[in-house]
Amino acid sequence: MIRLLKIELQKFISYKAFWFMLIFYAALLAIMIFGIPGLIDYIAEKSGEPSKFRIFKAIVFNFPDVWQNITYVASARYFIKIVLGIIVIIIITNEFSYLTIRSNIINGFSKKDFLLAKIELIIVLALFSTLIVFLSGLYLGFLHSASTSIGDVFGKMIFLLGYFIEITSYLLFCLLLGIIFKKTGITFVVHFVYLIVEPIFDYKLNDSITPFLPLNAINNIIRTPNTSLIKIKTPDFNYDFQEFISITDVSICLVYAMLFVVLSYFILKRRDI
Amino acid sequence: MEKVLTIKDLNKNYGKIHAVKNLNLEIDKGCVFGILGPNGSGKTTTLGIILSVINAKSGSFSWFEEPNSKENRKRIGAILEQPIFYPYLSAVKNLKIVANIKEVSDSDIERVLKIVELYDRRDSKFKTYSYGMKQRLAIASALLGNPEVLIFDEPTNGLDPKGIAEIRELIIKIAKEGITIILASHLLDEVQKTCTHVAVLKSGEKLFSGKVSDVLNVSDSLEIASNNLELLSLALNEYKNVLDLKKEHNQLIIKLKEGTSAFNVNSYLVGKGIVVTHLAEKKKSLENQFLELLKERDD
Ligand SMILES: Nc1ncnc2c1ncn2[C@@H]1O[C@H](COP(=O)(O)OP(=O)(O)OP(=O)(O)O)[C@@H](O)[C@H]1O
Ligand SMILES: [Mg+2]
Repeated sequence: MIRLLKIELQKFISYKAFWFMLIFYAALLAIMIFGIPGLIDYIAEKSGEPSKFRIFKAIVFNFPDVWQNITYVASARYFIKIVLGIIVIIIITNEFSYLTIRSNIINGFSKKDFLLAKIELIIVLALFSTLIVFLSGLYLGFLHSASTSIGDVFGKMIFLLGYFIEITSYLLFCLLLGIIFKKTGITFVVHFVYLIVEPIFDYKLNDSITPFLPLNAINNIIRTPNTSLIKIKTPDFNYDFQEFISITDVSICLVYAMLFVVLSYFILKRRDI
Repeated sequence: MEKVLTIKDLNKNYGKIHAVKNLNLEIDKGCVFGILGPNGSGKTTTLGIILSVINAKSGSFSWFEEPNSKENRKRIGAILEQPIFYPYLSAVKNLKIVANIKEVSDSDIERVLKIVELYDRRDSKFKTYSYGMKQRLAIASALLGNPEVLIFDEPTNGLDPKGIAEIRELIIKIAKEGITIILASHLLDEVQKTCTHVAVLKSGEKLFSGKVSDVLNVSDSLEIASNNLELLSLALNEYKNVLDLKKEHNQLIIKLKEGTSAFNVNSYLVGKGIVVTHLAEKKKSLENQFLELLKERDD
């Protein structure tokens, strides 16, 4: 396991584009998370009713809700995680365009080793992303929360695990696309087209089916943000915000993750490289 | 004799193109085996299959008399068709990846880079190399970790004459160490100069295989000269083993009956009191012979 990851990292340790994009991603993620309070302050100044917004800020970043709120923002499907997806697409399609997958196999990788090494890299990227979200959450939470009891701080941290599963599954989806289409440009196009097309299906299809669409499945673990305020219901505003992570959502997502891996494997296995 | 590679009834199709047709091959340990064939005859496809990057349609192969596995490939050093490396990495970093995949020590990298004379450029990125340098790096990579078998697909492709000579010398030197070498080439000359055994492929089919000396080295004419060509010519005309005699510039070209060698001719002439100033076996043009071999099957 470690050997494969080590080899995988050796491939990118001097690849400037990889580091550039990774730093770009990390910066974007951090700016976004840390930008929210600033944005709220800005709106507060403009609104003329700053105190109302201060309360809002406090509840958004209040432990334990902060975990749900920031993982919700960080995992949004049309947002920064796409940068991470692009990194994965470049990494896998490079192996086809440079033909290096071929030399890896000739030198003694099995196709399984090749795929495992990529999956390990994806897990490392997802962990890296989760770490940034975790550190940001801790910082913002301690800055804005009234209560910093252990129970509150760690209360909804399960959302970080949900976030990790979502990101990993999404990156496995990108990996599969790269393996199918091989060319970087084509894979990008297919990826973006699919991001646009699936919501159309989502709109047309019956609600009982839509949770099983792949992108929905890998985005449904964290469906909504939540704060104590939102729990207040009025007759015109009667919406159930997500409180917990549902085992069903996680299961559907994991089944997809497994499907992406299995398909990737069989395509690699059958193909001449 | 221990078999390094056994290929049984191998087939590969690309649509209608039958790239490899019922190929059977056995390669013994320690030989330098040439796979000779014109462009598109299926050499690279065959090597791709035995290196597990191309899936065969049917048939089987085995390395070292064992079932196919990635562990077997770690005992083989190979270049297939073109040098393949990560373009943005230096020679050393590329070879480190190769060494780690093969599970051999990094410390061998210096040795192989020195062999191909790339040690001074070891920290340059692969993409900044000239084609010949890339080819040399591929050879270095194949040599990494002292594999038991080396596979070279057109190894001198893109090299300058000095490089070609060096690589051929290197192949011969490696072969002397007892390492088995499989060399695919469309150049007869290359196979003839380096190989002990050869299989000739055409349109995916094996036409012939055997020892190079049996197939390609048939010597059937002699160049001969002396101070008095008239006298020489008369004497040779009387010699019963001469089939044909031609005068060319300042020498004679004679064709001999099978089994007659330069030694026999020279002894005969010495007996006649003629001293030759030049005597050379002239090999039948390999090019012609190769073409003949391919043509025979067309008829
Ligand atoms: N990926 C492919 N798709 C379709 N046809 C292919 C493919 N690879 C090889 N072929 C065909 O298979 C046949 C054998 O090709 P191969 O590359 O094995 O020849 P070769 O003997 O190595 O030739 P060369 O001396 O030019 O390297 C050719 O007719 C070629 O067109
Ligand atoms: Mg070829």
